[in-house]
Amino acid sequence: MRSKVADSSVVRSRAQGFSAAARQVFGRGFGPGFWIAAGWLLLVALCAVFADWLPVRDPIDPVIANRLNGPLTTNILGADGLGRDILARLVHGARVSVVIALTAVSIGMVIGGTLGILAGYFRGHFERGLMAVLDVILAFPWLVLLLALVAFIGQSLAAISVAIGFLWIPAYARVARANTLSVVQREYVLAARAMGASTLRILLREVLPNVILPVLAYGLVAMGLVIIVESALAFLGLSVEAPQPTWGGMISEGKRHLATAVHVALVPSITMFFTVLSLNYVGDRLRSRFDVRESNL
Amino acid sequence: MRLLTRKLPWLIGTLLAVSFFTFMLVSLLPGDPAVMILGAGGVSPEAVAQLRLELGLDRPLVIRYFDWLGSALSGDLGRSPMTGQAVTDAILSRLPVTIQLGTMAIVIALTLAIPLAMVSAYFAGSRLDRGISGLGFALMSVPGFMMAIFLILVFAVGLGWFPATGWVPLSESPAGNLQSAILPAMSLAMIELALYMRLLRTDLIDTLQQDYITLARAKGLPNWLILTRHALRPSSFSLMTVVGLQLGGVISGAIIVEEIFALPGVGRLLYQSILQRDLLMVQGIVLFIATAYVVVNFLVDLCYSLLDPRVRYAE
Amino acid sequence: MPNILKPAWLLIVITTLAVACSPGSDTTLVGDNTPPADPGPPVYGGHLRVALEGETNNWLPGQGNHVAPAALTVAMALFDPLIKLDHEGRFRPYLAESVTPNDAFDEWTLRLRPGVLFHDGTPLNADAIKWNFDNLHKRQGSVTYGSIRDVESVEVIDDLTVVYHLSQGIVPFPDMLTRAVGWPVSPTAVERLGDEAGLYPVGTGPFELVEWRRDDRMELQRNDDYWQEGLPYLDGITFRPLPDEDARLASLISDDMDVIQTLRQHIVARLRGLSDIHLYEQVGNSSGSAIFNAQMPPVDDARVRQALAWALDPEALIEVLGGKGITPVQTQYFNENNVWYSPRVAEAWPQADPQRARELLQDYMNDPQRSDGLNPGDPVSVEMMCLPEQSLIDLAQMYQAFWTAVGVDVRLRQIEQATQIQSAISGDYMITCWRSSNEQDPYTIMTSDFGPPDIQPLNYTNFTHPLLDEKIEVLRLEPEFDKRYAAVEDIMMLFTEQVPNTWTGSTPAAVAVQPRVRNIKGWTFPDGTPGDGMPVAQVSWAQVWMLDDEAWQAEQAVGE
Repeated sequence: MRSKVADSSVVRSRAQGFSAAARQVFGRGFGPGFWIAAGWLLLVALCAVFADWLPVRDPIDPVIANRLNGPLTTNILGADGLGRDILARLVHGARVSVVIALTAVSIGMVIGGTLGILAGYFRGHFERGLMAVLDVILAFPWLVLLLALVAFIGQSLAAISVAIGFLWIPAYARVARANTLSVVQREYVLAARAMGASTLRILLREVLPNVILPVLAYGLVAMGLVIIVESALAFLGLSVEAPQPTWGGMISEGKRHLATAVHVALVPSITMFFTVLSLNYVGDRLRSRFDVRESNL
Repeated sequence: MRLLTRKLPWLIGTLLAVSFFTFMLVSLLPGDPAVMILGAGGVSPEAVAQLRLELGLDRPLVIRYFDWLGSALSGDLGRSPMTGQAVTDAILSRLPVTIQLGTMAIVIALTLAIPLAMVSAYFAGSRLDRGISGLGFALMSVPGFMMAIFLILVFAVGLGWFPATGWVPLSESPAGNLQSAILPAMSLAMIELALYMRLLRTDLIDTLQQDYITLARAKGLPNWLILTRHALRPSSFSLMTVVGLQLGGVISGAIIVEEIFALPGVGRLLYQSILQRDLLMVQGIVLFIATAYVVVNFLVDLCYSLLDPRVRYAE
Repeated sequence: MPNILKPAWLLIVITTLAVACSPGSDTTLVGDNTPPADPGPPVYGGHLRVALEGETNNWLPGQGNHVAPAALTVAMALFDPLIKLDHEGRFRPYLAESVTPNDAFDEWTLRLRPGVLFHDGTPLNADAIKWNFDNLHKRQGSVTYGSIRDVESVEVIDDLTVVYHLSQGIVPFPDMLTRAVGWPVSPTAVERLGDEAGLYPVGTGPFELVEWRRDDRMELQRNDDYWQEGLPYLDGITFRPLPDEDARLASLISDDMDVIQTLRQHIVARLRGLSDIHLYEQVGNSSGSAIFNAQMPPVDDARVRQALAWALDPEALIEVLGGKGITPVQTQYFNENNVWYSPRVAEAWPQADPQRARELLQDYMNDPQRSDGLNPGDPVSVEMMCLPEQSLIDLAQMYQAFWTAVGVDVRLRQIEQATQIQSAISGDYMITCWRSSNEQDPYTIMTSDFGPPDIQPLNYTNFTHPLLDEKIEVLRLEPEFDKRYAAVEDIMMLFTEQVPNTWTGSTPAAVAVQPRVRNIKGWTFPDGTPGDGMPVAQVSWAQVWMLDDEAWQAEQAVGE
């Protein structure tokens, strides 16, 4: 198995004659940056799961007296335009963001992944047909597809998750197909086939385990992108319906107050930025372990 | 030539599928265009029925599709019933803005991405490389609208170097045009920059492993020459492919950026038309964008097949 | 990768501290921005740059959506209304020379001024008026069709005289001619341009179109053949749509624009704090509201509607909109400065008493015959829909908080405008964010908002009441102000009990200008009668002027 990390270390040691870093990347595992990012993600996940039990205020209860108060005043991270506690909204918003990210990526992963594996395994007309359909879908700007989908299925939490999930089907189908293509040529698959194993058995026992890891690793990066897509929708006023707090919604809410109370937009922006950054970074690190080549997408 | 004749049916098939999908997507949107035209003040059941008749909305979908496709093929995308403007005129009058914006964004992204990726790949694994990759991750973690607002806050409101909104056409004042285009183009460029950079870095690292690079090194060629001449050229193919594939992303970004900066481009027209259910306008624009996407990527594919010997021999 | 994360963390700490230490935003700044009481002598020349909140889809009256403030103000440059309102709220002929009814008020004779030309040189005559009426308005599918349902035909008497034949007597008929129906356009131009007539408006207004690039700018130049001698003062105007409120405000401060318009409380609040500009304000009747569908349980029951009104604290709603101290609480269809305003209604309007709300809700909940079919004692649940616009989303969440506080289950739904209007027409909604009332005559407003639902599609609330119908008849036929006022007051008192809708704050209309720009509100009729200022920020551009360098320096010298 070719490894990007190994590649890079070779180049660098050749170019620089500097080999300590190779040990850092390989020998000492993931490095501190990875663990900081993973820790942050864990914190977000904990907030999402335990939002109701954490000692924060009610995220949807407006206290007009606190309206637009800055951080470290009446509220730790300040209050928004309705006088609601921003910390509480961040914590509860984490839940919505995590739900959307998980659901959307799962939809893309399951549907797109299945289609991609089948296309990569059976090839022929099915593969050509699928790739043609994906080409057509990709010809449309994602935002246009999303606006249309939201207009059809509404703005509930489930609807938004499904709409964003749909956008991921083509990407996942491509990842899964590319990996399946490389797996089916391997000796053990050929051997299983020669031994007369059923197609279903080969798919489940031989192909799936080898495709699932790279697909999962791609999932973290995809979750980061889902959070960004959600925020773009929220910016257009088309994300999950109020009063459910979402980070994207909090940012676009704060845009009205940029001139007078910048923290209303800034605090959720920073939170979102670090979360997406962590997802990208952790996802990329994991992905480089499984060698999912970006050029295969 | 043989290649072209073999790929042309595929192109035509895709374009037909795109047109059908466009038409269905738009026609089935909830909300009655007739009601939107009449507005909250003018509706009555009779007026709506009358207007639907005038707009031909009562006819079966399939017939409407073929009618629309027929005139679209002759270059007539219809006339917006809401504004009275011909759809092609509307698109053509706004296209320069979006094309300029997109081109500037791609050029900015490429001019920054190529040197950064080269440095990154050459010193792969070093602190510098990790710093540049980190910058890439950071840029990828900022949504386009936040980047736009941030740039406005810093460069328009804070420093006052560029206008916060509005558009000066090139014909009116080239300097003013550049000034009004720079912030929106930058907001669009940042995400593309990160994508290009990461791809090119991976690709370059891969290329630097190849035997011919080792040979070039052995011959004692200077590093910059190896990087620019021997390593960059093969990688430019995949870069070209990604730039092509990312067109949809650039358009999506343009919708939001044009909305924030109040630019009279195709993206803003598209978004406003979707909200107002100006169906013919939306159909026309989406068809135009999707066709442009398919054709551009077809051409990229074609160039790729013609220029890259590996692909040519494989055929 | 700690070397990358570290500075970022530092950044958070710094920003957080900076924000925490910055002074609170509660301090209300008051800038020196009152326009001079006497604008001084008019000055000719100059080109005005005006930033507006929106763009218009189509400039042909009867086709375009000409009720939005941005459209109305541009229309005042391109077109002239036949009738306008004076400073006392009375109809007065403007482009028309006179308009006189018969005794039954069902035939109105309109006389035109001689020698008025459209921008393309076509004369404005009786035939043009009739052509406009027949082809642009009295046509199924026109935007204005519903508003002229009572006008049966227009008859040409002589070259400058037409008679409007109405199906029934209507005292405030001239009201119809203040809006798009009363903006004549050149018949020859419309016929020549065909489908594209809406792109190239040809009216009689003080300015004529040079170029319109939608979503970018509209260039107008002086109409040298304008019918009002000596007007307009300006050489030209550029209108630019800048939908982002902050960006529009910034464009005035940076001197990129000479005039901006806004109808948002929080922007008005910031304008009041600015110096080196002149700020003109005029509070309008139009107000944010929540309308109830009176045929949808449980809000079909007046007790529930009343309870929902009592539960709201409009001051808090206004504060969320950023309008604290900017606009008063609205309690009726007319605001405090309007001739139809009634202090008695303001006193009676249900608001800010959660206890009353709970009692009324209890009463409904324990009613075995309750309209929503639930068991006695079950909580009341309602659904409210709003457009996906940030200030409305904020507002809807305040409604929800107030109603939840008195024990009502509230579900919020965000819907696009395309679906909102449709749901409102088909009665497929319970409560929706809305904008109610305007500057028109009470008769016009009441017949459109509360006409019989089966013939008046604009009665979105589906609310009817015998007393209301009776009083609308008074408004239709009674010419005397005091009796009409009493009828309006009776209707508004009825609304305090029946609550077909609730209110937030009146909409402030503000126009802020560079100090050189003069006479935004002080327009007069040709005979010198003062006009109605700038309702919904609708400026009469013919009489606006801008000081040139010479006049400006002279004025500055006097000031010192």
